[in-house]
Amino acid sequence: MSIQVYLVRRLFLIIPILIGLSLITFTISRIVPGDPVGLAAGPQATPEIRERLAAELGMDKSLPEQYINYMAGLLRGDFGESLYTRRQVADDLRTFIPATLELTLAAIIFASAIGIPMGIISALYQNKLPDHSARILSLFFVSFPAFWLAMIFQTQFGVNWDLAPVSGRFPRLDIPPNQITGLLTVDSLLALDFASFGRALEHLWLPALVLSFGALASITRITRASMLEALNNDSVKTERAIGIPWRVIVLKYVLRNAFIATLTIISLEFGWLMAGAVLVESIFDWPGLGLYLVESSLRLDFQPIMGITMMYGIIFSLVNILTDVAYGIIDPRIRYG
Amino acid sequence: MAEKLLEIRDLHLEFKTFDGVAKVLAGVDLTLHRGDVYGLVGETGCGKSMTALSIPRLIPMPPGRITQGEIIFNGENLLEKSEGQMERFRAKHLGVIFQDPVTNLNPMFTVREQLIDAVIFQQHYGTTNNALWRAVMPSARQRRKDALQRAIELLDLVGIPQAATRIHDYPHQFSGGMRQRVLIAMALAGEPDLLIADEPTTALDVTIQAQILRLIKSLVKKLGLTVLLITHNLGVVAKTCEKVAVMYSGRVIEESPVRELFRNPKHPYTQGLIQAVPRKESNRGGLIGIPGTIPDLNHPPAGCRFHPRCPHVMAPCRTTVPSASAMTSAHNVYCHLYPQMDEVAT
Repeated sequence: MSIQVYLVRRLFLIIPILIGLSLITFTISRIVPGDPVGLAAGPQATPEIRERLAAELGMDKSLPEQYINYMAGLLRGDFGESLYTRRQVADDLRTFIPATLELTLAAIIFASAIGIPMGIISALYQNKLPDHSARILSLFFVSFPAFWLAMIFQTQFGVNWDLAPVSGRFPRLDIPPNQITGLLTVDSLLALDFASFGRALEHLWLPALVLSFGALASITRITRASMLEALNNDSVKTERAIGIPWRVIVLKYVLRNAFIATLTIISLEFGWLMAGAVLVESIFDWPGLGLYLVESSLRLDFQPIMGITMMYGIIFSLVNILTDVAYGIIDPRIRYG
Repeated sequence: MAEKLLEIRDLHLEFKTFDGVAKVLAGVDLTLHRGDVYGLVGETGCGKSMTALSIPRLIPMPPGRITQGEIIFNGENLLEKSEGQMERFRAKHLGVIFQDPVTNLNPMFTVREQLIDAVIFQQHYGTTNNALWRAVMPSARQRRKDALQRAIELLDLVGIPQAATRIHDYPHQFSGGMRQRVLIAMALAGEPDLLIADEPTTALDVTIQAQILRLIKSLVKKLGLTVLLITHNLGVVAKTCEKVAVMYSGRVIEESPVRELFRNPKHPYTQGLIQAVPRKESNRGGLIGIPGTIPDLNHPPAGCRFHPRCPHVMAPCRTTVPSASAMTSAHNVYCHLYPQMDEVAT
C-alpha cells in the first residue's frame, strides 16, 4: 500500500474515534449535576427568561436530539457558542490552540534535546557514575509535581533572578507579530522580527521547562533502555569486529535502532503534555486550551468543553498518524497497511 | 615453512559469574601460519569461540578477564594495545564473521550503507588518524562514491548476482545464505590478513552451508587469506581445513593436519569424537557418545580436565596438566598416555 492511500485511510479512521469521544464527553458533561442555563442566565432571571434561554440554546430538547444537533453543527465546522461569553467556540479555539501547541512543542523539544543525549550517555556508561546521576536526576524530575515546581521556578527564575516574566505569552502592551501559524516564536521569525522573537522566547522558556520535566524523565529512561538493547545486538559485535569506529557505531547504527522506542514515547508524551499543560497554563497564566478548559469547566459551559475535547482528540490522533509514518521512515521493514 | 601470523601462548581467560569465577580458557596454545586454513573444533562450552573472540578483543571485560598469556600477531602483542589502537588494528588486519547472518546485519540500513562504511573504515581508518573526520565530512562524498564501486566488486566477489542493483536492498530482502555472503564481503573489505569465522555455517541449512564453505575455500585461493574456522562440526573441518586443533574445556588437547587427525587420532577425547560421528554403516548400532558431561568451569577437575570421562585414566591425569607430546612434527597431543616433553604442574 502506498503511503498516500495509507494516510487517507488513517485519516478516515479518525472519524469513528471522534464519534466515540464525543459520545462519552457529551454524556458525561450533561449527566453531571448542575444548572448551566441558570448559571448563564444569572441569579435574577425569571423562569420565563430561563425557558427562553434554554430554547434558544436548544437545551430544552431531549439529549439524543441535542447530540445530533451538535454533531450536525460540527460537520459544518460549527462548534456552538459558549453559554457564558456567547462567543463562538470555534473562534476561541482558533486563538487558544496555537498557544497550547507552542507551549507543548517547546516542552517536547526541551525534553527530547536533553532526554535523548542523557539516555544515550546513561546507556554507554551503564551502572557507572554518569548513568546513576542521570537516573537519579530523571527520578527527581518525574517525581516533582508540576504545580509545585512551577511556583518554585517562578519565584527563583522569575522574581529573584529576574530571568523571565512569570505570566502570559507576550508583553501585554506590545504588538505581537502578524499571525501566520499562531505560534509567536515562529511568526516573529517569519517576519524577521527578532525583538519580538526574543520577547516571545523569554515568556516561553520557563513554562515550557516546567512542563517538559515529566516527559524528560520518561524519554531519558526509554532511550537508555532501548539503547542498551540495541547495543547488545549482534550487529554491533560485527561492526566492531570489522573495524567500524565506536563513535560511528553508536551515533549512526545503534541510535537508529534504538530510536523507534524513543519516538513512541515522545509521541505519547506529547499527548500527555497537552493534558498536563492545564496546570502549567493556569499557574503561568498562559492563554491556552488548558486555561480555557478550566474556566469553562468551572462554569459547566458545555460547548467549549466539547470543543476542547474534540480538538485534543484530533491533535492526538494526528500525532499518532505522524508517528506511525515516521516508524516506516526509520525502519525499512515496516510496511504501511 | 610459511611465516608465523598468529601465535596464542598460554592464554587464560576467566569470567566473573554469580557462582564464582569460571575458568573458561586455561592455557590455550595455538599457532597459525600465513595461508593456513585452520580449524578449531570442540563441543559447546569448550572455549573455542572465546579463543576466537579473544583475538579481536571482543570479549566484554568485565566480566571477562585475561589473567595470563599473550596473543602475538605479526610480532605485536595484541593484549598490550589500547582500545583505540585495537580499533584500528581490527579495521586493518582482521575480518570476523559470526554464526547468525540474520542478526549480524543491521536491519535499518541498506547493504550499501553498511558495506561502504566497512570499505571506508577498513581502507582508511587503519592507516590515518583523521580518516574518521574525513569520512563524515561533506567532501567525503567522492570517497563514498569510490567506496561504492569497491563495495559492488566485493559483492561480486562473494557471489551475489546482480551486485550493482542488489546492493541498494535492505538485509531483510536477502536470504540467510546471501546475508552471510554480505557479511563475508564486509569482513573482507579491507583485505585483512586473518579471517576469523566463528561457526559461519551453523545457522544455515546444509546445502547453503556447503556453498558458503566452498566460497570461503575459493576466497582463500584467490586472496591468499589465512582463516581460523571455529566449528563443532567435524564434517566442516574435513571439507575445509588443512590443520585442526581440538579443544576440550578451555585447552587445546590435540592439534594436527586434518587427514592425520581423522586417520590417526591420539587423544582419547578426539578418538571418542571421531567415533561419535554418525556413519552410514553404523546406522544399526545407533549413535556412540562419550559417557559423562563437560566439566563445570567454576570447579574444573584438577590435572587433565578430561580425566573423569577418560577410559584410559591414570594416576598423573588426576594431578598434572599434560604437556605436549609430539607424534609427528605437526601433530601434538596433550595426554599422559604419550611421553611428555616437559612436566607442568597445576
